[in-house]
Amino acid sequence: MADTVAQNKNITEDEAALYDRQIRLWGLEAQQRICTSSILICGMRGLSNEVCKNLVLAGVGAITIIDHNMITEEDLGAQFFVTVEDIGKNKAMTSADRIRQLNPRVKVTSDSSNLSTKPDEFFKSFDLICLTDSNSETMIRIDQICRKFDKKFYAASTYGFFGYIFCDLKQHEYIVERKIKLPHSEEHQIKVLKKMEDYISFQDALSKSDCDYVVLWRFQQEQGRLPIATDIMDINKLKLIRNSFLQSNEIDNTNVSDEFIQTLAMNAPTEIAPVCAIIGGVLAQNILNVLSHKGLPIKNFFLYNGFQGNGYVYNVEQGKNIFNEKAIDN
Amino acid sequence: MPRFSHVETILGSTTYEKISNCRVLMVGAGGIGCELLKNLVMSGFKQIELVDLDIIDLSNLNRQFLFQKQHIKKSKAQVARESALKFNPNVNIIAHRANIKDLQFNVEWFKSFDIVMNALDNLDARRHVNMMCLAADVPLVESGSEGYLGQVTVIKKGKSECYECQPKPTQKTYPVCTIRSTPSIPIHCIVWAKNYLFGQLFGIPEDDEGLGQEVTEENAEEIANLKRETLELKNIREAMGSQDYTKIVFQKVFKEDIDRLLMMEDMWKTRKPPVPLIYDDIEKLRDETESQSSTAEDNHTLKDQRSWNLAENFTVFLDSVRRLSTRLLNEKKTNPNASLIFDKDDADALDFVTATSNLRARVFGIEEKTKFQVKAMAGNIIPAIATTNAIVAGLIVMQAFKVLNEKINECKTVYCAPERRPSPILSESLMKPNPDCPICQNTHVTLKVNTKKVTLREFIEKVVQSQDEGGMDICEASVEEGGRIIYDVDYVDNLDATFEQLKITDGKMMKVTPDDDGMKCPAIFAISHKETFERPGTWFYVDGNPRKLIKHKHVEENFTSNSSQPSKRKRDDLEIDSQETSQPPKRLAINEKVVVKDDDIIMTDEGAQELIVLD
Repeated sequence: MADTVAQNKNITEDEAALYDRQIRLWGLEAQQRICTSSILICGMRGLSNEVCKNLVLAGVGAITIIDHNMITEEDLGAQFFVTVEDIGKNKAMTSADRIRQLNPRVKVTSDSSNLSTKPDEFFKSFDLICLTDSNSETMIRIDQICRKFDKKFYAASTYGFFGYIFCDLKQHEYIVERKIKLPHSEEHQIKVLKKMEDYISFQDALSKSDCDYVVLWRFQQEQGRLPIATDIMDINKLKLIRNSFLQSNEIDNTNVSDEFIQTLAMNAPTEIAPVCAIIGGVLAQNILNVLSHKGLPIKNFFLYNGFQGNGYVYNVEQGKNIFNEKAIDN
Repeated sequence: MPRFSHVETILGSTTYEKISNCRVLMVGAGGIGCELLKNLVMSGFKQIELVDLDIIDLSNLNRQFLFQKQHIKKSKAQVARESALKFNPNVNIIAHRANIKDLQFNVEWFKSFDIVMNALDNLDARRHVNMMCLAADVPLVESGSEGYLGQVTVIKKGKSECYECQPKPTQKTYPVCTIRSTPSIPIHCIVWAKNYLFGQLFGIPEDDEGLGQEVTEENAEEIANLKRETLELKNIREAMGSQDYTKIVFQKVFKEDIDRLLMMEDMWKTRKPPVPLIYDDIEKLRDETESQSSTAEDNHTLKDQRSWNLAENFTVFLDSVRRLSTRLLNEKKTNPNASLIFDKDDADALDFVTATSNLRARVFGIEEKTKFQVKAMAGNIIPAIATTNAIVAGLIVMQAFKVLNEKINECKTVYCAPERRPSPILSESLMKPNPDCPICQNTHVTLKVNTKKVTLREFIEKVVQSQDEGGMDICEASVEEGGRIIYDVDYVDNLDATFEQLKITDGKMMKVTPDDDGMKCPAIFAISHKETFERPGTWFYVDGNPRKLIKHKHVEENFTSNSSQPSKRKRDDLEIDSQETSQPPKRLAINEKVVVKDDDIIMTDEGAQELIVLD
């Protein structure tokens, strides 16, 4: 933690005025860490639009966005960095121009190449890598690279009304602040707790996880694409995966009904603005917390279900996590 | 595939149609509002009206992403509209730079919407929109955020709890004597600097009439002293602009008044006595420290986050008094009644409050605060961030989908609390309306009336006392508007005045409360001015049946009183930055509510609009 502070750049008075409200919330030191961080966002869709917006507004040091795809008309639905005039252009480059306007202090770089062509070394220069709307194979590969270089790794998607965030922070140190009301006084005391968590890789999480979306990820692994809801073959394959994979791992699959499979398949390729905003807000805040080593991080999944309106943190290795807690300050 | 194919696929074409055809009112284009407007135009909504009075400030830009540096000082509503239209030009957005409480936004206007969404930051406007939506019977999605926490809920008349069904926490209050004589924590000094001394020196000087509490043996001396203090200050103010004005003020408040306090020996038997500040000593200290160059500045701290020493507080105090005096005297050249009001974004005012409160803290041995901290405490800043606002705005639209599908029963109150495990986002069923709620349990009817022709007498005879249809059949009742009593059994002076003469005009709300003890629940008449009526000689029409609803309510109340459900409410307090409000935040410093309760006087800080009674 100390090394990042040593090389921080100081917040100028102008920046202090611009970031006044958030500095009041997370403090000057956290803002300094945020301002010196470098982030890679892979995939430009509704969810990553939200994440980029939130991170750039917060004043991260540099952000690189990579996507080799062209803009199509259906992208205009949930992606507010592109307009009808941009159809046919590269997503990363077009979006980068709009993202830059949100906060001229942030260095925004775009890359229109295919992520799969990037050598491992490419990822070395970032502090944190976030894949959005990616596929399981890529997620496993990039997470492995991040493990090699000790980089924070996030992967997230929205599937229509559903969405998830996965994070692999390797070993993460952070502090949490607890406000304690002093007896017989109107003043509060802030108690600072230092904590540490160990994480598992996406591949490990995938083999252990019994969350609903595992069915989708396994399908992606086998087929290299998302299922098509109207294709009965795809639906049958999903059911097969549910039966064989989940049962063979002695995972309770009673929650994953046929009806749910159908709904999930229909939602999987879609994105809607409000769900992107919700997942994108949770994801960006978590990234900011992790960059500033402050606040409770997600471990291992955040799962959102828009039909029920709930978002859960799902810990794959319940009970096995290392949990060091000691008060360092009174 | 077309732009909204995804929305149509997963919501179904019926819902999608409803979304494209509905009329949305959005109140507030600030932190939540910017995010919400983006979500609406990106979700297929096509008819949006937007109301916000505020202009764009630099400190908005870290979260209100529809605004950029070149937009500072422009209307939030207008710029938000222009920016959102770039995302989707096929939407009709009408932006009003106006106060939602303006009379043009009357009940009829609210009725023209299918759904209202609040993106507000203050209690007063929320209360108003809540009442209007109840009166117009339009569903309201209410929201709030504070730091990392957020909340969204749905208010539908008769189906769910309204904004006022649960009492709101009262504003923080401090006893006047604590503020004026015996401060013990930093906020006491800040309240004194901002609400008392700033007002006395630069605002409209206040008499201590309000102090006129029962004078008892114990407090007689203190009350007399406080009155004397204020009177002296008023006289000193006459010298404003003179060479040694700042010195006179300093010596008065940090020396003479403190000496007088010290003479009340009983007061300091159990407290640490204050230590007066000596002007000449500090001046000498300042001159000494100034000669040593003080360039040893800590580069890691922001200017405003650095603590000031005694000499610095002294210098800033004198300088800010000089700056504010000069400003006031200049303004008085054109307006003899000019006065200044505290604003946290006014550098002179903030310097004054910081230095003044720190000097007073020094006198009483209380911890001193930095300018950064004083700004938050004096300005009631509640930090807002982009991520929470984005989440909240997303949650609003998710609820709106259900509302438009007429599935109010499936709507939820949703909480966002990132550190809550296992559910950072948690939904709960909506609560039923509180049968004792003074707001949503009222009967709301529209009174179409030619306000120039109809007198109060006609209204009392033909509506309140009438047994005909549309009449209330109540012998004795009282009538109120905007907190004013217009009529009751003992107050009949206004009977022959017209509605217009009584200022009960279009858009106002008139409350009729039966005097009969068994039927306490009032009826609210939303006044809608109408020039002509079909039937000759008719000048008003009651749109609804106030009597029926009152009687019905009466029965229901008896029924529910036996089966009152335990309140499992845990609504987080989400009162947002009253200084960042879309309402004019300026409040005269003298407007402190002084309320007498038992033997104590309390002074409210950032007071609510009505009388506050403390337990």
